[in-house]
Amino acid sequence: MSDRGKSSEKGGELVFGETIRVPTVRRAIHLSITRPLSFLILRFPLRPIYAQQYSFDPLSQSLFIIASRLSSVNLAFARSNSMPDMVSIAQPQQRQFNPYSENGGTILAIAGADFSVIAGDTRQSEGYSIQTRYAPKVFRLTDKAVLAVNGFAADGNMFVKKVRQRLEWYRHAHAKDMPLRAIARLIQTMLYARRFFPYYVYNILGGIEDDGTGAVYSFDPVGSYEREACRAAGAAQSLVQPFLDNQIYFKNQTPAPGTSHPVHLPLSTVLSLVIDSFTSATERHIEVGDGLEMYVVLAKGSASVQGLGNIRGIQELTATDDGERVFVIRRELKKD
Amino acid sequence: MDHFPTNWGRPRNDAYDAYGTYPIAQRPLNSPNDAFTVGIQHTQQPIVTGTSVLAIKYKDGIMMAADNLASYGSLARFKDVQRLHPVGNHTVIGAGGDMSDFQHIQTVLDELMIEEFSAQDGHNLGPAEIHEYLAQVMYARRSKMNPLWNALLVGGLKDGKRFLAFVDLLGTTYSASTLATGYGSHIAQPLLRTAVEGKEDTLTEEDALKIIEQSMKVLYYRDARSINKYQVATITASGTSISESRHLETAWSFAEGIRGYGAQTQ
Amino acid sequence: MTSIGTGYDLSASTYSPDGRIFQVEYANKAVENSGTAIGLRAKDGIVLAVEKLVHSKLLVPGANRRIQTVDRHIGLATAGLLADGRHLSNRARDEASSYRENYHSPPPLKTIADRLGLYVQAYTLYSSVRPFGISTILGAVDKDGPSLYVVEPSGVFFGYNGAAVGKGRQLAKTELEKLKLSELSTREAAIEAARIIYLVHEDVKEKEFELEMSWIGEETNGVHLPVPKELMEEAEAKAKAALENFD
Repeated sequence: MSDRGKSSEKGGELVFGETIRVPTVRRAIHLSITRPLSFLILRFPLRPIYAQQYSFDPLSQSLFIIASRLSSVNLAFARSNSMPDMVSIAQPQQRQFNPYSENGGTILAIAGADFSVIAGDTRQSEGYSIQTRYAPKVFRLTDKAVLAVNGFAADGNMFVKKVRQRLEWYRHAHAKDMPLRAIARLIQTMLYARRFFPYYVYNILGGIEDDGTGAVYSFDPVGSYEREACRAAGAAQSLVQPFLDNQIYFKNQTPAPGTSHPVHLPLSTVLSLVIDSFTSATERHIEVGDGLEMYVVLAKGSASVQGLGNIRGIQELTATDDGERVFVIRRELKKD
Repeated sequence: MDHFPTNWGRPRNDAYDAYGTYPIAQRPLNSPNDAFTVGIQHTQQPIVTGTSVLAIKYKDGIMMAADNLASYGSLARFKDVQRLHPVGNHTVIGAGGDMSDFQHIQTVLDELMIEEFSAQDGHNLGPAEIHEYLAQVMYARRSKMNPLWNALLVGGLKDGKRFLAFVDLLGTTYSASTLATGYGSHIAQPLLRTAVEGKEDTLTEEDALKIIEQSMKVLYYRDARSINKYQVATITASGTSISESRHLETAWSFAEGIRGYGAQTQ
Repeated sequence: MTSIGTGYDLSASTYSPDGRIFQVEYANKAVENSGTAIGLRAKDGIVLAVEKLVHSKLLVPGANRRIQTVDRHIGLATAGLLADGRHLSNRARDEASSYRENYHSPPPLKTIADRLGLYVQAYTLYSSVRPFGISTILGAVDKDGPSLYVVEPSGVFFGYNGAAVGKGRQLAKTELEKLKLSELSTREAAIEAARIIYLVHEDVKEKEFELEMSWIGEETNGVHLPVPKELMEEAEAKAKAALENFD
């Protein structure tokens, strides 16, 4: 039914919250309302209508408007005799400032028996624009903890800054680095503290637990978290996570008769999986690419260190080799 | 009486201004909505705006450019506005977005620089510190839902290190060897990347100026909120300098031959 | 000070029968015990110089500055209690910054001196506070050119062409009077200032001292800065030479 049809003197049937137009001045419209009503709100975008200019008859469920000085009327009505339905009121829309943005990119982390790999691409984008080809998303927190942050970059950077500040205070109070599981709980507390104005970021924390095992913790923006063996997050999560499920958890794979799947994969295999994950995500997702940063955290005395020596461009970030060790490996990704 | 001068003599309904040709697409309501919205309203929109800012790294430092126009919607309102601002001796900031917010930022930064100068403690804020400070201010304001409606470039050179970074009304930051805000991020940034990436350490000031000039010209041809009058800032080891306004030479004669679109010839 | 011990000197809020406020006079004593500070209003700029008495050989050179920067173009030198000087310079900075906020222009020195005068005077009114134990020399180059003011513990302030406060002020004033300040360049004034500080120190000569000197002028672009090393060395060498000729 067109606007014109409804604006006739006979009126018409009204749909919830819709606008009716009254084309000429000083014409009356008479609308019958099919749904039972006991409450009615009139919204006039131009100027307030005077009370005597409309009337509503609950018996016949009809509305009578004298359309003087009106060009259009927004009608909204509640279904019961409770509060008026605010949402349905069509206002001259006031665009609200949106404090969030989404900056693309993908992160992932995989835990091994005595190591952990935390990786992320380095592209930062907004919409179809690449803002920069190098904005790190993975941060070393301590000698045994690395945090990857993905989502809204401004929130991410601020969040990492605040986590680091808390870790520094912990160091000053206790003269040691905070244990990984404690960092995980700290992050959940900090995220949940902002439950009603969340940091719009997905966090993945990787590192070594006090018992020397490799660990990965993943979080949602408001702090729900769990320890896992692997996790992907960000723009290409839906591309990478199924691949990881298949390759790490051996989902949908049946072991050959008489054999079983390994519980933990060796570091070299994990690194290959990470690189393949990102090259593939780069191919299929426009927000992923430019560069790859892989952080490797090794437990104290881990034998995996042997395999790292011949990796191109590897760089050690820890000063000593008598504790946990942190390495970073950088690779180029396609830039298109 | 309506206390918003911008509403005087103007249609007051979206039905009459569906395409936002009026400078302020959403005008304040003339009457209160309901009892709940009478509280403080922070949310705003840019009113008098500047368009793109461009900046690149080159051999001797950073070069930045912005035109001299401040628009009021589609009206070219102020045509002699400086959108580049020196902060101390090692830094220049350039702003797009709301010009009154930018003026506020200038005031805040000038106050900061005097405070730091007065300390006489041998420390001097460089571009990296100023960018970090600005990022914190911008992020804090967006978190109060009361943003400073700008996209800013911060460029500088201190202790032989070049610095070039971006920050906007959301507090989003990033750094690259070429940067552009607003329309320039779509139109000029690809040109700048092609011309600069990988050549940051060899481009001379002359080369850099040519690249900037060419990009400003393309922007003037394509961006309806731009003007053919702009300034260029350089930040080198010898300090900051912001040029006098320059004029862009453009040719529009080709437009005479254009009739309609596509295959239409008559 | 015959009235000492009569009870009228215990509070800044009480006059003595002959109309004096002893606490303010004692504050002046605190200034007199301090190393000399001088200010010169030259042709195109200002020089501030301080005889900073070093009370311990263990102090790091340059520690406990007595010249402060208030705004880009305003310097402040104090004689008296060091901490009072730092407090007042902080107040001066707040006043300058508030002026800038309100008027969007660099504050004239007269305004700052006036505000500091009011502030210092307020500390002569109440029994709960003690007056400032400092005399403050303010120097600036503002829109009206170079200007120099002194704020005293009582809160009074005057403008000067040459100013001296602290222990050696009498001799320093005599020396300043001999100069044709309005014909001196700021650079020349700096050399004279160094000479005067060395001279007044020679007169009392009890402790080691460091010369602290700052200037505002064409050479500094109207900005308050420490006198650069080369000029400092030149001025000190000339000051020492002048002392030997003096003997």
